[in-house]
Amino acid sequence: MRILLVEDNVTLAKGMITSLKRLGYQIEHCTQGKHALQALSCSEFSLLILDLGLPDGFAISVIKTLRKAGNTIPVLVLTAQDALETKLDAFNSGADDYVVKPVDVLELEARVRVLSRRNTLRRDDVLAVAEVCLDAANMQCSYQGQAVSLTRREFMLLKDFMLHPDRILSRRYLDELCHGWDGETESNALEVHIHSLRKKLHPQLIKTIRGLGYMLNSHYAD
Amino acid sequence: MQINSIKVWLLIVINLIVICSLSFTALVSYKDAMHELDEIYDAQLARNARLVATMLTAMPVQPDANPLVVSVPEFTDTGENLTSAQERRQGGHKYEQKIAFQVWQDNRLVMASENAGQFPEPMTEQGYHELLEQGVHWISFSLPQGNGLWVFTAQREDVRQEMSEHIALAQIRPILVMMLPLSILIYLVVKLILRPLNRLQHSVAARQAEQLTEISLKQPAELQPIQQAINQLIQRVRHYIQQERRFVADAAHELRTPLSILQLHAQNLQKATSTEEQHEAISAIIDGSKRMTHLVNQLLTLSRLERIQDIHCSRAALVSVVEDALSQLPLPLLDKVSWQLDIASNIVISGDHILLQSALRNIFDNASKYAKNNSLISVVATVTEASNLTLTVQNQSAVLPEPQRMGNRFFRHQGHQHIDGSGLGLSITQRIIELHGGTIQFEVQQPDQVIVTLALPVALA
Repeated sequence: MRILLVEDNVTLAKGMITSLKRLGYQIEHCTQGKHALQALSCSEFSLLILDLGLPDGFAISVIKTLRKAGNTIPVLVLTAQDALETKLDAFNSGADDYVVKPVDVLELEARVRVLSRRNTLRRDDVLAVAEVCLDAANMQCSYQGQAVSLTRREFMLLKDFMLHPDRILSRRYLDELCHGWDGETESNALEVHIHSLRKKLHPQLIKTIRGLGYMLNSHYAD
Repeated sequence: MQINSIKVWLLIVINLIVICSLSFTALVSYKDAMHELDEIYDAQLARNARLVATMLTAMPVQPDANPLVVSVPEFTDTGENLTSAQERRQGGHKYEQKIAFQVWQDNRLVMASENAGQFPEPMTEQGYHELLEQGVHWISFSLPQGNGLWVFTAQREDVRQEMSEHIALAQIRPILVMMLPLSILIYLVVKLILRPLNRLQHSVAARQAEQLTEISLKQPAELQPIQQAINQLIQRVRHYIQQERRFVADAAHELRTPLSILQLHAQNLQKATSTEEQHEAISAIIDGSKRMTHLVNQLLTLSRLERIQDIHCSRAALVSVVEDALSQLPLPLLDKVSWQLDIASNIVISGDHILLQSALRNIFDNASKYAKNNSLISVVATVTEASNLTLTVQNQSAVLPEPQRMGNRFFRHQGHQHIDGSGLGLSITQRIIELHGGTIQFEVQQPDQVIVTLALPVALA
């Protein structure tokens, strides 16, 4: 899952990026509302974590702009302001969750999972496609009932494939998911991860769609 | 029902006034009627006596004959139910029983009405008398003629009593009958007149702290000033609530951000797998605790300043105080902008130097911190005729804050959140200037100028 974090305090943002990356998320960070809108318009994200007091204004307007443009990305507001008015304003503008700082990163991650579940209409954090099972809460993966150990990037990739089974994910999206904006997109790191996933699970699980990207084939056994 | 209420008092007072004035009118007319009645009855008694006396003087009775008795018809008393016309019988009237007369000649009764037997002795004194005979009150009149002839007429007092009761009832009845509709009418009128007050009361009571809107009811002239005053109060309360909310929001932001940094990076440190991650977390924790320390120090300074009432004053040249304040700025801030000082060397101020230095340092610190790179900051001092010093500090800032919020505790412009600061510096400065009997003013001027003006009393050299 790729998350856009909008937070003007760089020290705080760095800490959040470190923690959330450790928990299996790819985080992009920007400090201003207008940058966030640009990023959302040209890249794909699964969630937006938004601080309200931003250098270029109060960020409720960012949520409004997004919703007006028809963007349904889940928005989690993370702010130091706990006034009821602000909360209501945020929810009424289209925010999906509101968390007051300081927050334990484990709670934040749990809320991120909840929003992801809600967005994909699931009741729990266990993703299952055929014989592959992925527990997003505990970061565990099993194949035919046997636990499989995955690296952080493999886990991230597989999770996104399993969130969108039988859908083609573009190479660019997967590259950004693995390495972020400042990753080495020209390298064949992505192929290496996909190869490794095929080896650990099933060779037919992830199909290469030439010229487009990759797709998780839920009927690989047929 | 509340006793201390305009409505209740109005109702009580108006009803009392109406009852009193009606009763007074009734009493006066009752007295008048009774007086006229007494006059007529008394005159009749005297006239009857005189009539009998005149007739007997013309036709004297035999001295030894039996007394002449004038019969009085007996009618059963039918009470007061019949009309006057029905009471008038062919044979006379039942009230004839209540009128009596006697005629005496030389101490011998010569003529009397049938019902006059109860007066054994004639009243020899001429004039009116009140008698009590066999438990009945009579009003009598005695008329002596010169030749030993006495005429005595009497009327039972209860005739007049009955009359007075009738007249009194006739006065009281309309009051009783009128009072109920009158009080209902009074109640309705009072309610109608007090309706605007009622509406105002409901309108004020319905307002809550979260939704303070002004009252815009159409009011009579007397209530308009009250409504205006309430509206002004509402405006002020709304303003204070808004200020309070902003303060809480600002304070929450300033206090929680360093706490979030500390908590987050401490957790990261706990789970760090590489020395690089450890270093990053540690330096962030140090950074966050420095920020927290600064904040706590500023808060303590402010609270200390708030407790101080007077300061130790000494005199010093303004130039040296300004230069000392500038020398306390960190070098990068000093070098970021160019400073233009225009301060006459003969201006001497009186005050606590250390406090004044930190006040000026805060202003200079803010001026350069939020200024555009390589812009100009001017510090100009002028002394007005009233021996007031005006010190103006002017910079060129990338974003313009709201001047009315500058100096509010914890207020920091959103565009400045990435720059370190606690939002308390200008509050501290403001307090120090107040302690010195001065004022501080913030202004912004488009496109990019922020102007801070200090006014201080000056000690002339």
